[in-house]
Amino acid sequence: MKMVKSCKNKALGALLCFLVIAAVLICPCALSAKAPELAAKALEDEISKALGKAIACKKMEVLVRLSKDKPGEIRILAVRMEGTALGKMAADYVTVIYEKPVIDIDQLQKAKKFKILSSAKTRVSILISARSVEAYITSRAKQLQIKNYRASIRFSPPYAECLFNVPASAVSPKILKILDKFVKGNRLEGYAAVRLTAGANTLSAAPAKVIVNHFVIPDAILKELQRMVNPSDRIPVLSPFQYSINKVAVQNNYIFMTN
Amino acid sequence: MFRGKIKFVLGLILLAVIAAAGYAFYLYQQGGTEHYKPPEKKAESPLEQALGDMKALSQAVEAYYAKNLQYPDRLEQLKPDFISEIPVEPGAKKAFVYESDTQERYRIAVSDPSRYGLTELFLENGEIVQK
Repeated sequence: MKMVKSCKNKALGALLCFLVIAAVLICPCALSAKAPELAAKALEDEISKALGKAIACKKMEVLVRLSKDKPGEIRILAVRMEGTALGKMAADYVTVIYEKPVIDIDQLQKAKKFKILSSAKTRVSILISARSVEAYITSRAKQLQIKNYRASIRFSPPYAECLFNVPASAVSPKILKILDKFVKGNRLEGYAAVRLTAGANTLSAAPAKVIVNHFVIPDAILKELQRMVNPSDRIPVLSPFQYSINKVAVQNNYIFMTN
Repeated sequence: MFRGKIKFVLGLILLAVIAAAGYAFYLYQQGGTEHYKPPEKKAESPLEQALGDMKALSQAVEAYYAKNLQYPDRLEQLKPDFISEIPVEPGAKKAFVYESDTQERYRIAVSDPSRYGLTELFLENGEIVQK
């Protein structure tokens, strides 16, 4: 009887022991499987808070993908900002993607500041719609107190087109001097198709076809105009990001700029 | 003799005035609202056209990523925001071959590179490979 009881106790003990060992072995596996997900979410929130303080935009989305092979390594960090003020123009979307970034975690957690120490590759993309360009023109016209003007923008890849009707007083005297043969009365009305180029955070426009007051502007004058107006705009750098925009493409609904 | 020279110079001046007026008339003729459209695209070889189309598609795919934080599953998703019409392969007159894992990789290729005198012609994550 005693023998049977002790055997039962031994079997129970072994079973308990097995369960404890199994629990010890299985639980950490389950935790480590969930850990990267949790860490990524926490990191996304921290980065979002830090960038939200530094950048004014309508909506921000942060995406962190951790490495499956190397624990603690970030494979991809992407930040997308909607309706971001880019100087005086509003960019519809600004997206920054880092491959294998090393983030200054101390700065992020203590000072709530976003700082990238290094990364394998950085891609910056800026999308600006025709509506945003028109809004920018309107604000510039208001700033320069230009009244009674009309300007509309449309995109026909690879060209950006502009239909305009502006008072001659709104045009710089240098440009007016070049166009004087074509300016009748005190207004400039017409059409321009331009190709855009970018380099070192500047934007330049190469006029491919310009019509002013019913006259097609000859190529020699277009070249002179191109020399005078370029670079036409500076592309501001959004702090704390660092980038140099060097490529631009006109697409169906957007101007697409990349580093 | 002297009168002949004067007549010749006057004739030249008249010719220059007529040419200038003709040029001005031509510029005026070309400036109507019906001409408010971009310059015509120049004719390209099938290879140049394929490279140009692949580059435009790649830029559209990258722009799609910038807006959606993922690559498109199909090229059709690029319409209408980034491209008005999906170009077809000029050599084969059919759609470019597109693959993507939607997260980190995309590839645009021609169906048969030999049509362009090549063994390989594709674009992967923005880089053109042409052999």
